[in-house]
Amino acid sequence: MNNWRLVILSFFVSINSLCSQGLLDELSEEVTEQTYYTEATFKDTRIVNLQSNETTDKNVLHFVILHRFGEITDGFYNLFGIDNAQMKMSFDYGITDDISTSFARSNYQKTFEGSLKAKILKQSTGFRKMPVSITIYSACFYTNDTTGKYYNYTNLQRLSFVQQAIITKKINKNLSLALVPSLVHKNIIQAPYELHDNFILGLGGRYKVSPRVSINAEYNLRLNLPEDDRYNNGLSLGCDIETGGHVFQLHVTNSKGMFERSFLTENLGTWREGRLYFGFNLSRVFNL
Amino acid sequence: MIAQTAFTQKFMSRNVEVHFLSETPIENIEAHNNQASALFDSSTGEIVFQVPIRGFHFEKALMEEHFNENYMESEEFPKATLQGKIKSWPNVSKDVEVEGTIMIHGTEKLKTFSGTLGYDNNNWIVYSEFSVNAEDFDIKIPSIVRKQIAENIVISVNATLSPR
Repeated sequence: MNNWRLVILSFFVSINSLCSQGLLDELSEEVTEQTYYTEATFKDTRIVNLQSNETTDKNVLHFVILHRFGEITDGFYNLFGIDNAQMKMSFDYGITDDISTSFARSNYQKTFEGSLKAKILKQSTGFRKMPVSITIYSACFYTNDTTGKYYNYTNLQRLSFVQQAIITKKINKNLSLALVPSLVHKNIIQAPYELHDNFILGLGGRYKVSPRVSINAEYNLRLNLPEDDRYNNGLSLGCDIETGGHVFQLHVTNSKGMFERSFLTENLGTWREGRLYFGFNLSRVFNL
Repeated sequence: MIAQTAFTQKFMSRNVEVHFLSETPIENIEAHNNQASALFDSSTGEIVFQVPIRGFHFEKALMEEHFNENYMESEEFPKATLQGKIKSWPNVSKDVEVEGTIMIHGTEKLKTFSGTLGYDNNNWIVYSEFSVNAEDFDIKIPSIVRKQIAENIVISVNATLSPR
C-alpha cells in the first residue's frame, strides 16, 4: 500500500518537474550560444623556458623573477649549483587583453630584452569554434657585457632577435599542448660553429595533476645545424604551483640562459651527462 | 495584474542581470553577468533561468580565470539553471516566493527564493536576492583562501521579461 503511494507520488513529482524541464529546454533552444574563449591553456606566460600562448591581461603588471642555478653536477662544494645562480627580472605589461609587452634584464651576458606578444587567434567553443590558439612573439636582445670577447662589439653586433608563432591547443581541462616554430637571428656569431639564422621547432605541454599544480615539459629541436655543431637541443621539465596571485615554477633543464637566443640555440648542458640546471620562477601580478 | 495572467502567454528575456558578492573582511569579490536568460509562463506561473557561467565578469582578470578554472570548472559545467514555480500563482501580490530546483556546478538543490514581481507596460519585472553556500554545490575551497571567500555568497537577479 505504502509502496503504491510512493509510486503515484513520484509519478506526479516527475510530471511536475518534467513541465518546467520542458520550459527550460524551450529556453535553451531560444538562446543562441555565445562564443567562449578557452581560458588558462597554461597557468603562466611561460611553459618552462618557452613562451606559452598566454599574455598578461590588460592593465596588469606581471613581475617575474627567474632563477637558474649552476650545474647540478657541481656537487656539494657549490651546493649542487646553487652558488652560481643566474637571474632575470622581467616586467610584463598588458596593453590590451590580447597584446602585451615586456622589458627584462638577465645577468647572463648582461642581457637587456624587450618583447611584444600578441594573440592573433584564440581557441574557442560555443557560437564560433576555433580549434587552436596562435600567439606571435617577437623579442630583441642586447648583450651589454663589455668584458673579454665582447669588448670590441659594436651596438649592432650586440643585438639578436627571435620571432615565434606559438600554436597551442587545450585538449581538455588537464592537458594542453604547444607547437612553437622559432627563428633566432644573431647579428654576430660568436664562434665559427654558430649560425646567423637558426630555425627551431619547440614542442611543449602541460598536464594538471590537481587544480593548482601542473607538470610541464618542453623540447626545442634545432632544425638547421652548422657542420661543427657544439650545442644541444633543449629539454626541460617543470612544475607550476599556483597560489592566488602567485605562480611558482620549478624546473630542471639543460639550458643555462633564460632568454630565447640562449636556450634555443646555445645549450651546453646535456641530459645524458647530467649537466643540468635547477631553476625556479616566481611571478606576481599587480593590477594597475 | 491578475487579470493579465488570464492570457496564456510566455515572456522572455535574453539579458537577465545576475550579480554575486562574496564579502569578507579581507576582500570583496563580485562579478556581473548580463548574458543570462529567463522564460516565464504566465498561465502556469512557471519560471526558468539559464546562466552561462563564463558570462560572469570580474574586476580582476585573474579572479575570472580562477573562478572558471578552479572553482566552477565551467568547461565541464557551462551553465547554472533554475526551474521554479511561483507559489500560489496566480493569487499573488508584489512579494512572491518561488519554489524550485537550482543547479550550480552540476549539483541540484531544492530551494525557496523570495523576490518581487511587477507588471509594467506588457513586461514582467522580476527581482530576487538570495544566498548560496559554495560547499552545498560541491565547490571546493582550499583552506589557504578560505578566509577570502564568504561562506554565504549573495546572488541577485534582475530581469525584465517581454512577451515572446
